[in-house]
Amino acid sequence: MTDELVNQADIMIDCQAVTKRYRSVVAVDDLSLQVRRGEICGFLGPNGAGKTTTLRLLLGLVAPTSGRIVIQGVDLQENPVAALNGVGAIIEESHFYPYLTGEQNLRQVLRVRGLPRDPGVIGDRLAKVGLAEVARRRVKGYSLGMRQRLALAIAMIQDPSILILDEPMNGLDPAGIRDFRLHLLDLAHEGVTILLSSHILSEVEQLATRLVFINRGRVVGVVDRHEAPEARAYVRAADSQRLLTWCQSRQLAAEPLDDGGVVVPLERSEEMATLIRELVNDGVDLLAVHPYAHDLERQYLDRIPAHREEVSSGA
Amino acid sequence: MLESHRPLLGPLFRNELEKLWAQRGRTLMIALLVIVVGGAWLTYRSQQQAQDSVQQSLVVVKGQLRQLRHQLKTASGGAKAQIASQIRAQDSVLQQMQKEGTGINEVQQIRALTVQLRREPMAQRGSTLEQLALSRALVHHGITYDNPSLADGWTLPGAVFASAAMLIFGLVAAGLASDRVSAEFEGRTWGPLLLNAPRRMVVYGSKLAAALTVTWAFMLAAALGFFVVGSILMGMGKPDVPVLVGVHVASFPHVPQLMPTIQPFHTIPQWLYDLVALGLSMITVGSLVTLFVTLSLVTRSTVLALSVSVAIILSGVLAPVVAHSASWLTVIDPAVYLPLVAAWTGQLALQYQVAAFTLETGLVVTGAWAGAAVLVGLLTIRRLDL
Repeated sequence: MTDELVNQADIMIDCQAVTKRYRSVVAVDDLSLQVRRGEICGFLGPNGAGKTTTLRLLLGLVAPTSGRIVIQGVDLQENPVAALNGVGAIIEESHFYPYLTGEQNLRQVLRVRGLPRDPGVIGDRLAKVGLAEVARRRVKGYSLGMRQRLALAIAMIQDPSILILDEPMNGLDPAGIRDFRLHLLDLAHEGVTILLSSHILSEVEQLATRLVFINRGRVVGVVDRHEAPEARAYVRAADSQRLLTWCQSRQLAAEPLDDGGVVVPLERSEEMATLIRELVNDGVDLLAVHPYAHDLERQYLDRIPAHREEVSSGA
Repeated sequence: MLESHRPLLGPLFRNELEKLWAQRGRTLMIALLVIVVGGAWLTYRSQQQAQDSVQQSLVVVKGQLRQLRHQLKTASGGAKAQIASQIRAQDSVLQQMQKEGTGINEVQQIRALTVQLRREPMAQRGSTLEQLALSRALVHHGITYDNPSLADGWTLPGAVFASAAMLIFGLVAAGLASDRVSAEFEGRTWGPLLLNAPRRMVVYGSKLAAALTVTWAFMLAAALGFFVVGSILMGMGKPDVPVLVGVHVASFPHVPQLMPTIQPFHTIPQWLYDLVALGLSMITVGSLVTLFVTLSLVTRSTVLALSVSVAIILSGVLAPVVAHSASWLTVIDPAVYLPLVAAWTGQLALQYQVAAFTLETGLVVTGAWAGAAVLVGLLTIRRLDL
């Protein structure tokens, strides 16, 4: 009972069977999602999967057709101000008032959020994202990368407890991406909950502790990266069918992949050599055998085949 | 986490003012300068030209009179009588022109109007009583000569707010208000704004309040500007010159035009008239600002909102054309009431020949438009999805 209560209190974002319809189009379909305190949750899916709509629902920018959203234990529909207190966000491409300076844009947020008008806060946030020198320049003169940094400064203005980030690394140069990543890791270490949607899978791979895959408005898979089996082997043989039959005969829960290979779970990584020896002894012609790492791209493509078809047909 | 005390209107209002000033501050200052200096200069020039024209005509008439008197000395019989008659006619013209140049002698005017009143049909007595009331008030204030066609520092602001020049203020309001919400959608800043300020009605209220404040400040600055520049160009004039207000008009049998009714005619001093003119204009322009901000919210398009706003303002120009055939349409047109003080003095009803153009109607119509706009705005913003 106590554990349950603790777990409940630990859930910072709780999306319960949420559906969002735009006339006949179902953008989000009965989606349930929970993000725990201090977690970096990667939110992945193809274009049009419903990621941005979900994030907008979580930020109260669109109202759900059905379902319930609870942020920090507060019902978003009932009390949006309390629910979103301490929530920072970057939504899609960041947009600001181009005719105001970076400092003025930040001051606008400070005022609206009712935060103390301490000039030190603005200077501190701008310095953190490396914009102190251009603080008094109008935003219309900022590069895309500078705008993303400003967006991050605004998202962090209140020392947030939750960060909801939609494609936050768009436009950042490699150094900017590295800084951004380190910054997010620091924040997560401090207990900030982060929900991160990005197309840069390698970045999500380096950051996320849990992955949520979404397609056609529905969650199609959740991978807890701490709980995932570490020891797996990727095996590809000249005769895929024979390889599968061999796995079945040994009662191995092999997972066939679209490229003809299979993923074979192992008790320990040392069993890889035994597996190769037995396959060779049984006359299976091997083409490739290697440890199956947490390959996010593969996990993504495994769970969202429609996207792969779209990409291939598009190509 | 920094402690947040979600505010109501104040900080959002300050944000909106900051944005408006950053976007439009320079343009507004230039527009103010052009409107005030240009308007006062045009008034001064036309006044000068009218006076020059009177002086030139005076010289011509005096020359003709000298010639006629010379001819009279040598003429005889029927010709002499004819020339004498011409001299009398030219004399009368000369006196009239001198009046226009120097002003009307109000004491003589009162005598003439009193005599005229006895002979006039009932339908025209309202108009004569109106002039009589004004002349008596002028004399009461020690003003025996008055030239109503001459403007000065005190009369210019009131005259502007009672004239078609109010269309310019309507257009300024359209320029200020019709992108208040749509620009947020077009610049994709609406999402971040709502994210930081989840109370949507407050967002709408702050935008409306900021647009109203800047428009009203512009009008106030223009009124002061007209007073200062008008005083420099044409003299300051007197603040207590009486102005007739509360004039009602009606149609009379066998009289083709609307005429002032017989009523108690009230006067107020010029300074008060100027303030009332400004206040009433602020009410009508404020009503239009509310309408334009709501249009910007409903259409989410600056081009569309601005086009409709300008069309509404310009409908005031078309009003005289359709006033006879569709008077009800002009009565509910908010742009007609831009110079609302003119409805109080009866000028608006006389100009459009629609008796319904009264101060009361103007206040009800502008109030109804503003109320409807606020209601639609609040309902729209509540249901607005990004």
